[in-house]
Amino acid sequence: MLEINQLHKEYGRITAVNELSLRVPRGSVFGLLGPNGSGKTTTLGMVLGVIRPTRGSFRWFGELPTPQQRKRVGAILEKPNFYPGFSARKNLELVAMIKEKGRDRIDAVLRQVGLYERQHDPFRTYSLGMKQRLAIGSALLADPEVLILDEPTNGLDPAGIADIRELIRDIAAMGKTIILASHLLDEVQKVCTDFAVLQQGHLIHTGPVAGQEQEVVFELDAPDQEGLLEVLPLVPGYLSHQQEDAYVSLTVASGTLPEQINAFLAERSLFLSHLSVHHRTLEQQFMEILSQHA
Amino acid sequence: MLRLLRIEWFKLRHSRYFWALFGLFVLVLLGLPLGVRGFLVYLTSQGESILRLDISAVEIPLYDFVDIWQNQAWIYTLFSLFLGFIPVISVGNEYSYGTIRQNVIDGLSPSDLFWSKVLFMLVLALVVTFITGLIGLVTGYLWSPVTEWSFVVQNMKFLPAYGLHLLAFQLLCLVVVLLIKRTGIVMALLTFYIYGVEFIAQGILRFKLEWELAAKFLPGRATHMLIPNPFPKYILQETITTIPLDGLLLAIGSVILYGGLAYMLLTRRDLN
Repeated sequence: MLEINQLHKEYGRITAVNELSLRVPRGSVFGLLGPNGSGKTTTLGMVLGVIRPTRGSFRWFGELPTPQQRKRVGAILEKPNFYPGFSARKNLELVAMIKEKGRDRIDAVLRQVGLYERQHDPFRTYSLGMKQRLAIGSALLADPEVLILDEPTNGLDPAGIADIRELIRDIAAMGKTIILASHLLDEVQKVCTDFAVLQQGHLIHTGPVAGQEQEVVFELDAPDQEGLLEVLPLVPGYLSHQQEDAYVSLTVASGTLPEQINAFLAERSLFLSHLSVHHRTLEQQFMEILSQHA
Repeated sequence: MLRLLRIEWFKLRHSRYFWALFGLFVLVLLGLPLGVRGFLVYLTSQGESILRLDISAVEIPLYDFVDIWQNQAWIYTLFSLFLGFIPVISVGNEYSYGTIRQNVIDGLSPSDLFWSKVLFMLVLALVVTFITGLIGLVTGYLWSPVTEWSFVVQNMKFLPAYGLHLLAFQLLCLVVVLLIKRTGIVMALLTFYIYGVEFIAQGILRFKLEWELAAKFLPGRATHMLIPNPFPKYILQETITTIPLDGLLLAIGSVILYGGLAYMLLTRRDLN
């Protein structure tokens, strides 16, 4: 769908994006992760034709970039950009003129993002959440093959965030490719199939979100902690363990079930006072990936 | 091409400032000849004779065919900034709203953006030239003692000359707003420059340093040099009543230079 080859952008002496190569597979929900200032928006700006790469190239739909291709992409970059004096409807009419498509979908899109009732009010009177929803609606207007959302929940209250996430999940369920740039990890974890991590313009990791789960962490404790620590390395699927404050954390190969561990220990007369599965969140993965590259 | 024009027209026709500026400009175009005529009629009614000559004020041949086109065009060039503010506000606002960038993201190329703005300027220049022509015909037929067709059309060449000036001047304004990107600052700066700095610079270059050549290349002046000041003739000085070749070349050169600069500024920079 999108193929980026050694894309590079320098602003004077600052390198915003450094020899970045990336592939976004068709149908994926692709999370672009990284702290603020890591080059996410610059990268998206380049593939959307508003920032000129210093060097490197990219291909949309397997072809070299043209403005015509961007009509098949729906995108918002950084913040919703609309004419403040125009109503939602007028703004969408203009987008449809530019994209040469989607005029007949204005009503449907306004309903989908919940702005149908307010469609005739000027954009400047909208709350931030409504502006973000209009931006997503505008990106959806021409029924694009790819949707690019840059920090779509930035600055929203919890209800607004929940609205946007639901919207993104609905869109993903329609089978569209989505590229979601965010510094919010649980956001990416909740909706993405693949992700890439940027740090200071470098790509430091890319892969599927699910594939990261090659190991499971259990928290456990027993009255006989010494005995526990002794036999832990014999647990099936054992990878490592660590003594934490109140319990022992045990890392095993994914697929190991808590009942297997419980049974194994009980056979050795070790009875647990605590056993819980500790899912490694993307947040932890992310922190690990970042610290490996620090 | 038509599509780009339609996009720009959609943006402007739903904008209040466009109608306000355009309306104001048309009011100036209408008000100037009517106001001047009214003033002359008033002077006559007061029994004043002008400059102690033996004619009444209304007999000053300002609206006479042949002369009217140059008089009108020259006076109007003093007010072109009203029209120049249209691209300034339109482009400046698009930068501050971020819509210029969103337009590109949505599928316009930067050169599409350039052409949508410039084609609209061309249309505006044509429309204003047409209105000017109408005003000239009406006021001329009302107040010119001569109304033979051959006199009416003689020197009508100043109409297209005025149109060319309008295009060049709007392009100059476009370049400034593309460089500075802040609507308010650009409007203040252009006003200060056109009605202040350039007048003074012109005075110094022409009369103090007697460096006429340099004065011709002042950015604003270069766009209206093709319409020479006709009014000295009313105090019996010799004036040029043709379009001077250097003025014409300067106006065409301005269109090419400012157009080219604007094109480069739009297409060769990041849209941040």
